[in-house]
Amino acid sequence: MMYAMEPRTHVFVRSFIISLSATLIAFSTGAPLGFLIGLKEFRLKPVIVSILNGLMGIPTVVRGLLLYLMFSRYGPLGFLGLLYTPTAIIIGEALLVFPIVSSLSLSLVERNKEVRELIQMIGLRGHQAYSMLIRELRVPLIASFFTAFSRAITELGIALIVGGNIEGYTRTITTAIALYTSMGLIDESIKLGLSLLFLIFFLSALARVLEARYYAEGRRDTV
Amino acid sequence: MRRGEGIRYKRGERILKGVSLLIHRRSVVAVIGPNGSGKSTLGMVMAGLWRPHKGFVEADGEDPLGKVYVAFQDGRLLDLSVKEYLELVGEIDLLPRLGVNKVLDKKCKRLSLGRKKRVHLQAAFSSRHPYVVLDEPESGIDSLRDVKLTIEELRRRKGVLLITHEPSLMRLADKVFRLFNGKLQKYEEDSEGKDVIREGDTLSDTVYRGAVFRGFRAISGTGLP
Repeated sequence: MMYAMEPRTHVFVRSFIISLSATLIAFSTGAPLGFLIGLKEFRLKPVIVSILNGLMGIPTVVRGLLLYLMFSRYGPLGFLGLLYTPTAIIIGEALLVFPIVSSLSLSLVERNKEVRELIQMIGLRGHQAYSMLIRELRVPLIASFFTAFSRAITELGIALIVGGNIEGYTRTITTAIALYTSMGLIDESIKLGLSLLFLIFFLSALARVLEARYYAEGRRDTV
Repeated sequence: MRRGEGIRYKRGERILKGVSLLIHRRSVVAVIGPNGSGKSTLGMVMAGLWRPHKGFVEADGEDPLGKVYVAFQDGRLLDLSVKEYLELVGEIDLLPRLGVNKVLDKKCKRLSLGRKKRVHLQAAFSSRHPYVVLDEPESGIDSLRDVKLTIEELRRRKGVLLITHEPSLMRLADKVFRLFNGKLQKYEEDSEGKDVIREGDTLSDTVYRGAVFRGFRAISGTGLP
């Protein structure tokens, strides 16, 4: 082959860093929002919950397109010069996993009503109550982090459209696979695809084990 | 109290109808009743954990949250060591009878149900909460005697709502009410040990005199009697 490809590990590490940053941003905002909605009772709650659920259903290419329109030179955010940068992918992926993280933490709070009641009964308020709740739910929270990260790193539409698949700069595992396959570099595509699969299997297995352990422990003696 | 008004929860399903209950400090009030009659609901409402649609709940004239310790029927505890939990809810003032001293350093979640409920009884005693709801304390605990003696200890410093099926625990109470079809009835035994149930006696215990009660109480319905 005449053309020297960027090493797989570079693509892998870049993808990892981009998706991890996106997940961290989404988690630090989405999880508190989910907690807040889950803990409060208000009239518009079902509306907000269905909006969050609806947001999850938007196809990633449509998201990518919308972000492209925002970030393109004459778009409303064009002056930031973010199009075809890793930052643009991070923003896009963060917006992608944000509703996932908030719905997951929302349902987590609602599923664990017993813990909330216990904390209220003890008389913990405000900050103390929140940190105790987070402490109690830390294991399933970590599991939902893994789920969100898996979603971010496997996403293609956003990375391709706003990232631009620039070698050595914005090329991620999924955009690399898309490109190599269309170039006929099936070998390379399969290798990248398998490593992505392994990573996802590992993360999802880890998430399920954590969740199963958490809920099994709670039930252990009460059956 | 007008008819047709009551404490409601869950989409208009009425569980408690016009229930009024006042529990003074240093007294034990027992509530008995068939499964599903709303005993546990009453306990949750009295502790301020479930909000009644109508009526009000208060402890010493304030919000009962943080003033009423609930020894939950399911033995739920926080993911802390027993010692940390007891320190969180109050002080460590152990009742040797409950045997909690043996498990102080263990994780609450690793304990058996019986041990968890013993930890709850201990916490009910040593917590800073002036009132206590004991929801079927006898279930899961191997020694009824330990439960009885703990209730006697609790009576000396707290106001206790005792939810139970156990006749020998009922006898410890200063008053016994039966919850049936969402209503409280006065429950007594006659000289031959037969059940005597009288209707509508409970309101007299909860007449509002405008002063702050040294007690915790729930009154459902809109108007005060």
